[in-house]
Amino acid sequence: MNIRLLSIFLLLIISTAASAQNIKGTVKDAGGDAVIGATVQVEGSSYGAVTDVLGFFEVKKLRKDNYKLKISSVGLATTFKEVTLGESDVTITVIMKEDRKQMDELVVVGYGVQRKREVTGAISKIGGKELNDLPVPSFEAALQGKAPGVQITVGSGLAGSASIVRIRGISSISAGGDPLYVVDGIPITQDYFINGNNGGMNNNPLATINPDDIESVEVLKDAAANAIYGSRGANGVIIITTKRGKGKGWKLGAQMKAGVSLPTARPKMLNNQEWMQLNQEAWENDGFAGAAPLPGGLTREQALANNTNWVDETIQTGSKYGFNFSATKGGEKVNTYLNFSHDYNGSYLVGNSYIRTAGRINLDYNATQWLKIGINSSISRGTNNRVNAAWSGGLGAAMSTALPIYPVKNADGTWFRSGNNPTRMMENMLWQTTELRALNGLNLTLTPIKDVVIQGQTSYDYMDQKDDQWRSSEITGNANKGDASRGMSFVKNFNYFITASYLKTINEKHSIQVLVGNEYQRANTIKRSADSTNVGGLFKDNYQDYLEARFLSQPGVNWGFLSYFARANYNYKQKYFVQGVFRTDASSRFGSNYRWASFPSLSASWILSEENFMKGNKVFSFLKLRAGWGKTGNANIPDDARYATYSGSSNNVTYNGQGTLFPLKLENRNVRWETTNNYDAAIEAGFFKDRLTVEVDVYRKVTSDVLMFLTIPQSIGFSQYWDNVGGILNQGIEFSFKSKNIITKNFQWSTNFNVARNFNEITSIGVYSEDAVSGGTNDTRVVVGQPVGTNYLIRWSHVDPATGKPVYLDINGNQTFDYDNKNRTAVGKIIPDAIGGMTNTFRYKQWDMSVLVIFSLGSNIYESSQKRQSTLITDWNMDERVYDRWQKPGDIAKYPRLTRDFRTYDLPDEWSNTTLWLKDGSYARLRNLTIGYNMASARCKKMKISSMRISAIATNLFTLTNFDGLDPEIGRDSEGSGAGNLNSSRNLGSQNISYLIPPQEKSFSVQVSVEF
Amino acid sequence: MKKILIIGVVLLSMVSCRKWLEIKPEDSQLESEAVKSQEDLAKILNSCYDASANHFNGRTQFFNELLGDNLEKPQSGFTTSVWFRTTNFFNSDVSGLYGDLYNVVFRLNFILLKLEDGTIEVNPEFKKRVTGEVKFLRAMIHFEIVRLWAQPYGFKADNSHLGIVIRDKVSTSPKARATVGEVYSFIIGDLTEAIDKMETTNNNYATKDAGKALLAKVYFQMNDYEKVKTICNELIPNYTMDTTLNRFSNALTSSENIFSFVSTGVGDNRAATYINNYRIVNPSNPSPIRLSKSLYTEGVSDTSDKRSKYYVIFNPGDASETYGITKFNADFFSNPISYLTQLKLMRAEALGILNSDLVTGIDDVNDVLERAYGSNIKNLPTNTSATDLVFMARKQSRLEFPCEGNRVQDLKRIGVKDDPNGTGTVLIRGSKWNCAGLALQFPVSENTDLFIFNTEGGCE
Repeated sequence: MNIRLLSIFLLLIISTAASAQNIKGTVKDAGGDAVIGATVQVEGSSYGAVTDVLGFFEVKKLRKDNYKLKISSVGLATTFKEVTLGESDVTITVIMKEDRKQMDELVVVGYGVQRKREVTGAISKIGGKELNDLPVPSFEAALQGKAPGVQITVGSGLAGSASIVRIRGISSISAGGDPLYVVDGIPITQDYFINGNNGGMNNNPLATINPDDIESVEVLKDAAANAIYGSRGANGVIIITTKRGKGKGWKLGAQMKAGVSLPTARPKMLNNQEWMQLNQEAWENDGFAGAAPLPGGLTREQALANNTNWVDETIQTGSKYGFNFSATKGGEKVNTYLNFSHDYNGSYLVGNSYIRTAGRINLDYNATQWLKIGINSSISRGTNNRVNAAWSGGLGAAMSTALPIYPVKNADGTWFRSGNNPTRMMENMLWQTTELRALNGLNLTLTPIKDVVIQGQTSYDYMDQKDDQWRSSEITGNANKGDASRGMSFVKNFNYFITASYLKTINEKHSIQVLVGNEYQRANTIKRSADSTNVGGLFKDNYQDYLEARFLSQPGVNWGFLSYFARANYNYKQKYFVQGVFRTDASSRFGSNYRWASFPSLSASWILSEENFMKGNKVFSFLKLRAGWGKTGNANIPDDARYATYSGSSNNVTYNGQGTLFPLKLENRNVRWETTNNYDAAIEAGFFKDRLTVEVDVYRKVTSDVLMFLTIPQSIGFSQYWDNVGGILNQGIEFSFKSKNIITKNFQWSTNFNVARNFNEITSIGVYSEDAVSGGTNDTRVVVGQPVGTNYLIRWSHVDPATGKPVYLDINGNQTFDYDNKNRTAVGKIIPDAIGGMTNTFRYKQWDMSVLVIFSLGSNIYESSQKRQSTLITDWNMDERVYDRWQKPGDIAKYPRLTRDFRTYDLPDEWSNTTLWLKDGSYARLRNLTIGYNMASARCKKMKISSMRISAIATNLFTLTNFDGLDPEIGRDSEGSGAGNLNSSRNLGSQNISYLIPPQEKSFSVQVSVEF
Repeated sequence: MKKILIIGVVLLSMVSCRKWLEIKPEDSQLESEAVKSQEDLAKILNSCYDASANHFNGRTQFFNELLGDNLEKPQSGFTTSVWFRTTNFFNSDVSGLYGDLYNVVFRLNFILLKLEDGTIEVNPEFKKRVTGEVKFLRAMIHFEIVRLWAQPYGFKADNSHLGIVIRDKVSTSPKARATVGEVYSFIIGDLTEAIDKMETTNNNYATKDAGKALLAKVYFQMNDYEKVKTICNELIPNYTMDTTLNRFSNALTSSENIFSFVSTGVGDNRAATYINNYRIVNPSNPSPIRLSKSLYTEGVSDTSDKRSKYYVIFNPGDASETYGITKFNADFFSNPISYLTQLKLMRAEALGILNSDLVTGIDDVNDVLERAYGSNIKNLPTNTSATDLVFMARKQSRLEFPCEGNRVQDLKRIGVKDDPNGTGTVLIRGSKWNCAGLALQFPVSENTDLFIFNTEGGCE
């Protein structure tokens, strides 16, 4: 019996061996040269080979069957070859054509698409996949380190936090510095100040956009690309395109993720004994005897008994989870894309989370041969469970006025009230901001006659935001269920555009395309508020109480733009390209003396690698030169800056029983957009069959008519006034490369690197002085010859070893004990010299790993809150850095003698600024580490799915910096009255001025994606 | 052909609609729509009273008191620097007050502009009265600003020392500081015209008598006692003493009332800063702002003085002993600005200094003492010397007007007269009356080529 089995077994083996054939052959390119290192794979199996130096390959041990080979190589088009294998070996020759895919890749430009080779402007493209894999508070944070010249600073660790996005430097002072965001052709509502600043954070209008929906993001950086956006393109344009159905048949996808979130650093504050000891030391330093007085009405015994760690009370390990389902279908008549997702993003701050639920339908319907209809429709609901942070409370209180000697609760169980108690605040209030956002667009494309395409789109961006708050009777002091209030904002943003384009190719050599268009946009914001006492919770949970509340209507905001534009493109043999653009805008914001703004642009490019003398060049597989000039504008100014206004006719202010009327602000008939003159030149090159692609870009932007929201002499009667007075220069160079370092069958390694150096300088501020516009915590100024956001401070020299008092430097650099504001000088800047990122991607069989490191060099950070945490003893807790302080004559220390009286340091008050708090803000950060496993296609087939991937992702894992504070990435949200202050605050002082800002979030998560 | 047609249709559909871009701001009106009639100007004038009432609701008075010797150092905030006399141009409390006061001046100048430029129909009586009231308020505000932000009248004998910016018309250009002499001439000019043009009665708004009372105060500050005497002799007979000890309880109805700011209820309270600063809610908890030991000691030195009952002591004997006042405990009250008692004490001191008509002066002081003690036990004898009369008038000033913002300006006036070289015989809480820090620093917004800032400090 056994022998029989054995012989059958042996026979089987022999027959299999005997029937093993090989497929072999040579792979060559169009020029007849051998292709080295090409991968030859047998589809549907794990058999394959790699070509050698002669282009020869051999796939062994195959059975008699029909096979399809897939041959791929960098820079060449993937080729398929059918092979029938019979009794004997088969030898084939494969010719691989040049892969024009990279150059034929479509790039979205304003009001259209172009092939990458045709683009004459500076445009960076980032694929949706790169954005989807990162757990970020909002999609724009995922762009960090991916595009040269695009600086993204995430606000803070708060859930849903906004980022500060600056493209090629800052070219505004008091007007907005953010780029224009266009989603599927809709310039969306992007106002960060709809609800002002609450709890140390502004609302982020981009947080409701679902990153899972994004197909690609194009960043338009120079005038050649931006001029078509006219008076709003000066800060750059970010075009977001959402996914559409493609391919054939239905494809389903599901994704699930879960993770945790931690702070990148924990504040190190003192405990009760340590704080009391320093308080006592300061008291004795000031010459007093006996026990130092304690705040909060506590006795020494009580203070020693309480040791509250407020940082522990306000920090937790946050959790995250989410899921996403999508269905796409491509077809002849109809393309569909459907998506539904739900994301819960808990931050490391207790009680704080951002939840987004979103759904989208994108349809393309080829109605007839000459009519195509497209629909983009999405609805998204963002719920932000908010907490006080920074100067407003929560973790910010733990780093400041919540002292360790305060208990959370008194001995009798009541809340401690005689000092800042963030836990009491947190547990006695509810705060939730809900935003319902609908983005809808209807697009019609007509091709009525040959070569003419007419496209019309209307869209509607609707935002319904409700900010609900509730405070219990513990906080309000009224003996009832609590007080509830709600702030409501409804933004209706309506836009239409219509374009007609004509494309003609003559003699297959000359190609001309002309586009003309018209666009109108109008936005209305309606605001209301409601409040009521004796409500048990938030209005959203107490509808009956809400209906009976007191409603007040608040002033709304309205603006409109009307534009005409045209673009002409010409190319000769796809070698020489020329583009001209012109756009004119009228806006309700511009003063009556300046109605229409015009923006022209001219650019050209030359693809040298197409020239005959370059054909067959072994080194350059692609070489393109491009240059452009143009004008772009910035119209992000307040809507009624041009009018002199008076109080409303229904104002409720009376005196002595009679009504009143009063002026609110001065008029300015000349208020208008800012204009930037852009020059750009670049080289794009591909080497060794595009194994290495390099791009070098130089630019110069001269901005004039810079808007400043000036503080004018108050004896005029008003303190603030809008005027176009300034000038700013930005110039720099961007360098990026993509290389495929190692390509073997089992192991691949590629690198993407980009770095940008920007030089920024204010060239003029008219007749005004540096103090005319201030930023940060009164520490930054506009100074001619210095960058926007210059730290303007009195210089700190050292601590006098004999007395422990601070020694400053006067304007001439001489040491003095006197603190005098005349000695302020430009000492630092908030914007970096160079920024960039490097992504390394490794692939080993089924595994992949990607590492993104971002860096920022040359900026300063002003750590404003440290002045109360490391020197002057007041009602603030101190942090551990204070221990390097002077204690007795002869000490050499970093910080001066402790005191309870600011006059010891010759300061006029407790808020005065010096360079002691100005630090080096350069850093490099391991932003993202992703390790993934892709299921083999054979396994997938068995499971009846088309692909599956499991990945583990860590963000903000590790940071290299000299900054001794918590986290060098700082994007503090703005506060201040009037839009001018908020914008100038965002330009001059939101970045790198730290005042109790919560550090960034570090997260670990796991993701599983499946496609059917 | 077809191509042209299509393109034509496309172009036509590109409409241009000018009015799509005329978007007006909400909840506010454009100037051209808001200011059209005499009614509108009356409303703007009313808003000037409204704003002034708010800025004089204890707030301007508080800044004056902080510089003087009636208050203890505040617990925290920018007002601490005012108490220390170390204000600099970043002090936002100080610059806030400065900007608010000049904002009212802007409105007043705007009214004058509209009365003159002929764009609005106004009848002559309205124009006359309103011009008078505008100039009265403008003078009152400039008087307040020059006393807080500049060294006093008489600091230099010829008054060529720097004063403040005079805003006599609507303008959006920066301006230099005028001298103190020029500022006082401007104020007197405005008041003279105002007195001439205002009415005799005006329903709680300013009247001729209000103008005269303010003019008397201006001359008093200038150490010009002859003129004080003339004006007071004219005004005082029209009013009678009120027996009420706390004038904050009946400002409008009092027989002494010459000019007050009106509060109609808790929701329309023109004394908010007084109340927030000094109100004592719980007898064992000190008010946010406390009195100095100096004021308390003088206030309670004679317990038969009925005014002494308004003073309160907290934590007696403890290191945290401090003092308060109960005059400002009500929920709201109208704010008396000019009233008879002020004129009487000014006249008494003036007569004492001039050494003329001492009888009237002694009577004036005795009227105040009788109200304070309830009888004539502490009255001055008829043969009181001029020096003693002056001394008593000054003492009663401090006891009659605590927290009303008089004290520091009074001491400066006395300093100019009795210690013109600042040798130290007249001290304000230990500092010479003419030290630099006793003039507040101007806000940084004034930093232009035209403007010279005050010297800082020097009061330690």
